[in-house]
Amino acid sequence: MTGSEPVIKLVDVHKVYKLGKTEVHALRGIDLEVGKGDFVAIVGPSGSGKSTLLNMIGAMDRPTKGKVFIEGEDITTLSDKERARLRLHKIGFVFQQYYLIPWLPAIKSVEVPLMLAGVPPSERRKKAEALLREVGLGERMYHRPSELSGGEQQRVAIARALANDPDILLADEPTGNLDTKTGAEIVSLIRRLNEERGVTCVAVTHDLEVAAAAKRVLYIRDGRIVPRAPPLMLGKEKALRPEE
Amino acid sequence: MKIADVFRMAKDHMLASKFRTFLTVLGIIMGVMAMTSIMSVSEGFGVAIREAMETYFNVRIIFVTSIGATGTMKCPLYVNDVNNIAGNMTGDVEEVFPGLFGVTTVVGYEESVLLVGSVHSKGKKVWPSLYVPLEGEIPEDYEHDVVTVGYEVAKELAKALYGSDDPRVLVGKTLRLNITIAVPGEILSKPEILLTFYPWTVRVKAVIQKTGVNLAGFDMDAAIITSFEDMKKHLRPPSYDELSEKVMWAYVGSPYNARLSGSQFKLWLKTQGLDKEYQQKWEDYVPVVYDKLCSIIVVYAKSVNIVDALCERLEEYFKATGNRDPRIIALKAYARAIDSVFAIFRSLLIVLGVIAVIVASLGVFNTMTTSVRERVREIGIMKAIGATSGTILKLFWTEAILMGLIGSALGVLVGWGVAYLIAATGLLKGVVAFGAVFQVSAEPIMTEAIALSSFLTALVATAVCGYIPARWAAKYDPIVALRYE
Repeated sequence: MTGSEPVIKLVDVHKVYKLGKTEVHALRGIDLEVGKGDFVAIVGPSGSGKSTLLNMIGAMDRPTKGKVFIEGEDITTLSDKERARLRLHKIGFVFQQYYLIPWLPAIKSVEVPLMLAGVPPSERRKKAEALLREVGLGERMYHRPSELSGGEQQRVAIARALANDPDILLADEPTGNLDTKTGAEIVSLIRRLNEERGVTCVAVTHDLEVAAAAKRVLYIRDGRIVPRAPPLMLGKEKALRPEE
Repeated sequence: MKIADVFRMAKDHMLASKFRTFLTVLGIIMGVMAMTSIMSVSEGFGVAIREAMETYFNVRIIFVTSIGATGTMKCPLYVNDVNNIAGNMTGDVEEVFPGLFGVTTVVGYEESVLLVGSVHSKGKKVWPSLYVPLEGEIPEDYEHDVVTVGYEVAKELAKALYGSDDPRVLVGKTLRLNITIAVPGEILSKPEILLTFYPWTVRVKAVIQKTGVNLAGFDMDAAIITSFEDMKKHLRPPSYDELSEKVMWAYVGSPYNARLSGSQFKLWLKTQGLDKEYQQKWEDYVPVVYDKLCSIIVVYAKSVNIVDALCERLEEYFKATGNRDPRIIALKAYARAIDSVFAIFRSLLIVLGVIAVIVASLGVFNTMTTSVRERVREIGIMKAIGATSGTILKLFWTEAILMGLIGSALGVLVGWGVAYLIAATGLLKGVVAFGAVFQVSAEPIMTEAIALSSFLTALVATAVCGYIPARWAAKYDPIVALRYE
């Protein structure tokens, strides 16, 4: 990969879901390039295709048409196993509902991706502890999700996403279930990780705070990236540094 | 993901959902316990039955009998055969002795009773648990005019002769035996003549304990047993000259149909012009042939394993000596027959055991399926963070196998304990009973084979039943799984 090559590149990506006899066009020709160390917020209303787009980038779903490149590699042609490996090593996911395994304490949750990658127990324990400290959970490592607040759970999820030092962090409404203050903390954490670790971040969000923290904001509507903020975003455009 | 980590994750989940794990493992334990205890109990039954048969039937015994399947004399057996067998087959034969069967009535008790002439000392050796006195002592071989009386016939005689319900009263008493024989066809072919001798007075030396056993056609409980020599003497057809002295009654069959005294019979032979013929043929037959005959030869093999081969050798011997084909009855064949019946019984028990394990495995199937349904989102999470379908399969399957391992191992141990508990409570005692004599107390027997086969059957069954839900889990699409409510 050359220095100028984007970490994420989507070329004319379409996604059509079939719901019975009805076809739902979730994505209608997305072209996107995200460079290394970038922090892109994808903003759009519900049903605009944000999450679908994130799933395409995260190798969770395959486009009906078009190509998705991660670090120059076309991932649309990869087998399920290869895609799983890609998610394990190159991509970290953060979800709105945190998606922590309920019976695992924080430390073990963070250890799971390391375990999947075959990292030896002592090494992964050290790394998980370091990551939890990094996200500010040094004191609550052995708590289960049910014993943690929403913000703490999301920090665990972020630590887990970073476990295998991925190049890309994908966040799907990372503050969606959090109060404003906690949401802001999470946003600043992601921003800090982006700046300090150089992790390429892509976040889909409703939250203007998230968008404000991003280096770039993309608007998506009806499965297309639109050149400017949709009506509900007007007035915030300047603050959001929209990309024309 | 390393296999150790797969086990670690599976173990962590099992510990996290302790109650569910406990119930599932308990289900497997119950199934394996049932299987193990059923198998060890049936093994115990098998061994108990075999031991009982060795003890009571003595499967090393081979009966050679001159009586064919239809009850008629098939071919002659001679006392000399006993000596030949003893001499020719020393390596295989531990004991060999003759026996003679006859019929008698007892004065005061007019029913026919089986009279057996044998060798007391050898009977004691060959049937150590059958030829045992209830009262009195088994006579020595040199004693004459003494008998042992079978339990049932002793009971009848005690009642008829002494008005007692206790057969033991007979011991020390005398019995007067009215022996009846048929005049051999070799002496007089027609008409049929039955001779009843003057009573033979014998002393009862012992009443045999109840055996409930029928040995090669004779019921020991319904027999009076005396020495072979005495039998030979008292069953011997009288010569023409001895007729008046020995014969009390002669029954001359069709067309004469008469009952004559000894001297009347002698006279009748004379008037019929048969006296010379009788005397001549008697001389040709009785001292030459009849005195050497026996009804049965008991061969006691040196070990159970050579019984079959010995039977073949005996067949060859009789074929080679006069082309004879006597019935050769090996009790080992009885043992085999009962063994095979028991094998069917045991198969039935094994089927029951396997059903128990299948039920337990379905418990695993049920638990694992429910677990998969409950953990769909977890499967989605695992896939989102990079787990392959193979890893998911391994995680779920390993959990099922771990439960199978624990349940099977504990089940074998508990099953063992339960089997002994059954034995300790005496539930099995008397279940294996063939007549009164077979009071077998079957101890469950735990062999390595039983433990291993129960363990492996259960493990394989749980592995199979755990694999299917694990496959379902592995096949979930990550996005669908994450959205699963």
